[in-house]
Amino acid sequence: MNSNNNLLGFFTGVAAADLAKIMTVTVEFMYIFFAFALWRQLSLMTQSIKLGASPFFNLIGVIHLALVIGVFILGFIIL
Amino acid sequence: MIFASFVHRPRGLRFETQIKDEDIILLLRRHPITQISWVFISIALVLTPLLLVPLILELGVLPSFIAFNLIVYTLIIWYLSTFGYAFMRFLLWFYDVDLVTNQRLVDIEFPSLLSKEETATRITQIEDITFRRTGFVRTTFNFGDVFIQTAGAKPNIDFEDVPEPASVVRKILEVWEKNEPSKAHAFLEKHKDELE
Repeated sequence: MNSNNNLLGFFTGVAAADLAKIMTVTVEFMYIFFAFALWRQLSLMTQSIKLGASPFFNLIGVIHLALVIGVFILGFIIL
Repeated sequence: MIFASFVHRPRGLRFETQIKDEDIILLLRRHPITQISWVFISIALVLTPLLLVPLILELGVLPSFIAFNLIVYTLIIWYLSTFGYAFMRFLLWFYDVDLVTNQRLVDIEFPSLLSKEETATRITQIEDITFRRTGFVRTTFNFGDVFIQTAGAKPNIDFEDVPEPASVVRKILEVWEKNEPSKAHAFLEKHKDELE
């Protein structure tokens, strides 16, 4: 009975605004994995087929990953 | 030219399993029209917040606890992921190539993220070549599938949705003729009408 009250208290204690922020940052955190997988895939692709544009695409992949990590950190600052 | 899907003797292109004295004669990608769905999805994803956010603000249906900085942060994530999606789909098209070299036929595929499939067969292993261009879209934009049947247990090679399939077959035949003239001539005689 007591543990049920604690659980309820935990959920009611979190404000809706905080819940929205936590969910948004969590989504961004999960997106980091996708960005990382995309960057690794890009390395695999440029290794398999060497084209003139490959370094450019590699750079875009790195910038994308850096931006995603940056936005994740930004979440803790602005939210 | 870099985004072309039918490139004769591409310059500056090398691939991982390329062997010594192997020259790339033809580089093929799927016809750009086959990529239209993800291009439209990406455009829709870009436009959605531009239409939806002013509408929500105008109607005042946004809950009061949603702060302005949360909206901005969500929009940043939205556009980052839209870019990520479009970039991934573009790369899966761009690096999914079929190659005709002076020695082999190579099919390099990336079916999904972190996966790669490469199928190759020697020109001398070719037994039969057929192509299919059926349906309104394929006939209008002149693209289709080229099937290369190989001898024995060697895997067959399919060049899917490639532009100008008849020209692709002719190019393969040219290489085949240089490697195995008798077999190629016999095939040409048999399929003369289809290739004209």
